[in-house]
Amino acid sequence: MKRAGIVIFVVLGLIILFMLFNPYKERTTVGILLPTDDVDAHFDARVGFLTAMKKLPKDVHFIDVDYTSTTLVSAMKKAVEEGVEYFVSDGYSSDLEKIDGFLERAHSILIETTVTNPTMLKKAKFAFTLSPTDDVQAEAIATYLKQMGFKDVVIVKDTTNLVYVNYLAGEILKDLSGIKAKSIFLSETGKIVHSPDVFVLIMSPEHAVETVENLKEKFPNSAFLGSDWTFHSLLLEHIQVVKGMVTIAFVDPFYLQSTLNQEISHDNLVLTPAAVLAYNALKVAYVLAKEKVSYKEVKQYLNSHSFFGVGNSFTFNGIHATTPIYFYRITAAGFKLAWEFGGKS
Amino acid sequence: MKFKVLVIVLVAVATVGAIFSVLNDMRRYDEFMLNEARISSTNTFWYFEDVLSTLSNTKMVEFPSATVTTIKGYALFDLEGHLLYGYNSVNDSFSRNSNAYKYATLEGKYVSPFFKPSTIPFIVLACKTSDKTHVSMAIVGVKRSKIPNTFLVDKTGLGVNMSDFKCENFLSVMGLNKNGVILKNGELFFIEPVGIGGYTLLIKRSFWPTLFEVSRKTLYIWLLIFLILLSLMTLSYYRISRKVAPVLDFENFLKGLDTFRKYEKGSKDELSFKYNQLVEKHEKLDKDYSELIKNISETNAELVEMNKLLIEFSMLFNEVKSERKSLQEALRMAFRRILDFSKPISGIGMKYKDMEIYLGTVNNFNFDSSSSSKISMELKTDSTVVKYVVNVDKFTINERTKEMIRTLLYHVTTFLSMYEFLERSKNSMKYDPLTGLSTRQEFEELMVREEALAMRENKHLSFFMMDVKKMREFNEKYGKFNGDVLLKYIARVISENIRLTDIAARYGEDEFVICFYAMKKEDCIKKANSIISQLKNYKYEVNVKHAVLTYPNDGESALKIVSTLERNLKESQENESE
Repeated sequence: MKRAGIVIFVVLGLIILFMLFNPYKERTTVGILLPTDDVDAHFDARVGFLTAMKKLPKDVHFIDVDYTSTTLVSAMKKAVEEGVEYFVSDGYSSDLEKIDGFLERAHSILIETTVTNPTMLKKAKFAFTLSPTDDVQAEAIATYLKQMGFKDVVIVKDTTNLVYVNYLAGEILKDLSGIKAKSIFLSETGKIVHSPDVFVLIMSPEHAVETVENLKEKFPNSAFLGSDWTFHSLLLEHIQVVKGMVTIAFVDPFYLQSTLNQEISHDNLVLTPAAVLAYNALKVAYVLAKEKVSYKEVKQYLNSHSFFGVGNSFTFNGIHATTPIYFYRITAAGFKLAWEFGGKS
Repeated sequence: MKFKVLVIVLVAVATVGAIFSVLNDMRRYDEFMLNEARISSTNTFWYFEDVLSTLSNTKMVEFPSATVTTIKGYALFDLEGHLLYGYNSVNDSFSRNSNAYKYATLEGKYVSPFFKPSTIPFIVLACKTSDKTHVSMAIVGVKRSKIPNTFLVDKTGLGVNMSDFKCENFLSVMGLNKNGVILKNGELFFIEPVGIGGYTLLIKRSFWPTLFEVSRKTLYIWLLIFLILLSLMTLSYYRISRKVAPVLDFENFLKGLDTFRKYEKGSKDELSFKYNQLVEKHEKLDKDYSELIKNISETNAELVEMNKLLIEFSMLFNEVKSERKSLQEALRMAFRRILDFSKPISGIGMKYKDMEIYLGTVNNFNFDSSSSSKISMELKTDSTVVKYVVNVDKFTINERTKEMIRTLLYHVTTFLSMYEFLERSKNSMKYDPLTGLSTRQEFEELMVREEALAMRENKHLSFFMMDVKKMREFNEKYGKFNGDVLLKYIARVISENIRLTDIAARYGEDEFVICFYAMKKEDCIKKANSIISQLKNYKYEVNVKHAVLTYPNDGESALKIVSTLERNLKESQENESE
């Protein structure tokens, strides 16, 4: 009887010890934030995330955190309750507005792939992006326009993702002081009477194709420059429309020829710039989770470490990665590098 | 007791059986679900293959209404990229720049990942026609499944529920790159690749509800078995109890008898264990007792030795008191005895006034350093401090011996205090405490020596004695205190007027005598007058009588002369009073 009691006691003790020091429980968790109501827009990000996840060691726990446009915060809250400390997302600037002070309250960290609005990033706290922020992009666009000698600039803004489009347009206008420039919404293009030197398009790739098609008919002599949002392989499917247009991306096409790209080509997939950013973002989140970097020390950690992504190594300068801004001209042979801006921290 | 063990064994058997049963059921459930996934996967595969086959063998120029339910859109291209026929193209899916056209041209057929133009996700399938002259494309929906939570997952990790066509991301599951059964985040995933377009068939189940559901079917059987066995055992137990009841009664009767009561001690093992414990305790006590006895004997022996020493010390100090031995000699002997008192003592030393005694290993430096192998003491005597140091072997000495050494040293110190007191007492007999002059006794003793000296050197001894007149009246008039001050004043005048070789003494209450060595009578008279004249300077009026005699002229011995002087002064005082 006494022995049986001892055996039961030992077994219970072992169970408690296992529960307390369970090595699987010890693993830190990274939540992959992806929407389920706008799946097409995040195709490239999913390819990037999945490729990275297949490549990375399994010592960090990954879980999917699905959300819709109305359930972002509740989904994140639930994920935090399940032990997620690090999020990686392919969201928009407007998503960060919804998050507000959640990251600080939940002691969590968010690595974004393509969010570029610095105000929103700073407001969200503990949110970092792999893309250069809009103020950097605006400076790059303004410098490019000045170098090209354009004197009359019209910025056409999308009617969605307003936080992003308004901020970027405002920053460009600020940097273009001394040059005739104005910004209008997509719905106001009909009001344009004279032909400007260049249209700067801040809109989705689908809208960019439509807008270029419409404006080209009316103003055949104007040039077109798309912001990073317009950069998408969809443009190549409408090469006849957008041929000659310049668009911005944050990944050098040289690195798109990597062995990684060859590996996934048998699935008929391509690492687009958005996918590369997603790949790099997940890798950064993995490193943070593996090193168990807390939300308090994340900024210092990111700004003092180099990361090796698909492209060349990068570090962080404040809230954004030190990724260069590439200007691509759309040609019959695909995207062709025309100009490069920044890249140094 | 045995019944309890049996119950534990029974519970263990039932638990192990139940666990194995649940594991077995879960294995069968896994196989069943994997089979379901395999069937769904095969159906999906053939669904895609059927559409591709139709596209390969058909060049539609008009969209037939019969295929509306499966194919949502259709397009036919020639190999130069010209759209020959298109129907219901969604989001420019039918384009010569699309992946579908590109890969179908390159590889013969292509199945796209999901795209979701509205609420329902679609898939684009494309292939070259069988005559290799055209590329056909079709948009199809997801084939509905009756199994709940069955998902068709594309190569980007996006899954579509085959029941309600809702989207869900499975990147974390697909990222594991595994097929079969996966347990992750409290969910069971049954994964089977479709084999075309990078699609995967996935069935999702929550782990705990599934486990409950699976075990519910068989666990009750084990519970039932357990209850039946328990019931059977209980019945058997009562039957056996009833059978052996008379035997137990008899046993209790025997136990009740005094003769057998001593056997009521529990099991043999327990008894032997207790016995061994008792033996151990006894041995320990025995050992402790022996130690104690040995300790007591040693203490007694040392106490006897110490008492002997104390008696010896008393005798030694008596000899010092009677001045048959000097103090230093006596102390040296006492310390020698302390050194021999116990083996661990290797040396002893003492510092007392100017006296320093070192025996054995102790020297002057031992007083300054401190160490655990020596006993240092600093004790107060009546007037000063005495320091002792005793060097001991710290490994063999015990506290008791140390205490005894301290006692002996206290004893020595007590004697030193006593000695100091005696010395002081002696001094107080020689000198008058009020005037500081010699007392009558001391004067008389000294006179023996002075007389012998004067006789040997043929010198004179002149004696001057004076008596203060009406000292009693003076005391009554000015008070006792002023009387004492007067006597002290007289003593001071005397002390100032005599040489080092002269001896002055307070001979009576108000009588003073001075012995001038090698002084003639005339000189002595002069000296006496000088003293008396100085006394006149006192603030109150002082009248004295005096007389002067010389040895050997006025008497045969010094003491006789002094008594003559005393008598003369008394007589003259009586005459005056008459």
